[in-house]
Amino acid sequence: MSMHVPFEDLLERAAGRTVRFDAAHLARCPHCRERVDAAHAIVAAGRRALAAPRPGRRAMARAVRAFRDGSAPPVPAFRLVLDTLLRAAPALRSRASARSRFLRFEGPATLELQVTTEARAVELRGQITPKGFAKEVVLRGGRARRRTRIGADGTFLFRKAPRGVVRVTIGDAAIDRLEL
Amino acid sequence: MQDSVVAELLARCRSGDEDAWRELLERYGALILSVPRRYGMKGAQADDVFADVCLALVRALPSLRDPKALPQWLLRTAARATWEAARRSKRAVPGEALRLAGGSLPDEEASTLEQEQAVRDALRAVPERCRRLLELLYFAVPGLSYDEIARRLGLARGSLGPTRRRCLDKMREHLAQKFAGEVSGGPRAPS
Repeated sequence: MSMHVPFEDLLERAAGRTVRFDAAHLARCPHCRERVDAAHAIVAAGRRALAAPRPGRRAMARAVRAFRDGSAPPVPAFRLVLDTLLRAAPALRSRASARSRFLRFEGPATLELQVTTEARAVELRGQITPKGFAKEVVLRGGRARRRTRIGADGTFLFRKAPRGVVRVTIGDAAIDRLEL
Repeated sequence: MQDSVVAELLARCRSGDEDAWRELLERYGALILSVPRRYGMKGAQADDVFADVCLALVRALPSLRDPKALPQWLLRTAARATWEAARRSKRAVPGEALRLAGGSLPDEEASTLEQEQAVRDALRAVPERCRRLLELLYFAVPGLSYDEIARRLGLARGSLGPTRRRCLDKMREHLAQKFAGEVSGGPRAPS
């Protein structure tokens, strides 16, 4: 008894190529015939999909304006409840020029941040509680955009965060202005 | 996997993330636009429908939580917007079926457009190298020879087969959700 025709061969045939396979099996196998139909549907749908026009620049710009103007609902905000600045003690730390700032925010979740500035570099570490509140953190400031995944333990790290004022978005919630 | 990506995009849009909004429109723009174009609208008129749907989407963001439901929601909204646009312009309402349905997309049309979107989503879900290979293998019009595909991708002709199988495996689960029939590979039939 012959075996089913591989789906990749059926796709090849649907795309118009000549593929050798057991025609007798295909004729008597309802499973393979169903897959022939699926292969033809995929190829046809794919060709239509790739040929379909996409919105032009003007239409996209208009849609972006609608988003900005709009109608976007109020964003749940994180509220700052603790802000401290620590300078590294030269006698105790090797990175004498580094300074760290610890911040704690409350809101739809608890967010703790450590901002470490050394020379011109800014590192941002954080932890969000409860774990699983969001999957990603986005920083936006000026033209800079950075995003990073939140680990299973709720922690995240930007080794090179943009300097200046940024907006921090975590899931549905945001810190509108955070100075780094 | 795709669902979680779209859910995350929706969440970011709700928080005002413009990048996420652009990404969402990149993903679904062709689907939205396909409705007015299917009913004979082009240029500015089709763009107006697209804008109407986008505005409706912005307003609906707080309640749109299920990523699976989003394509159908967009199609319904685009059909309604197409119908309204045709009425406003006092032109003949495009498409007998759309007219009869009072602005609803007939099931068969919706299913066709959802299948197109499923292929777009599946191609988006695989690595760039796979996407290019699959597009050239199956979706290029007119079809290309293996030699031409290998040349365009800078691959050895003999490596197309194994690469094709790996790429198809990656795309398989996304396609299986929207296409009737088993789309998995099977043992090779004896020739």
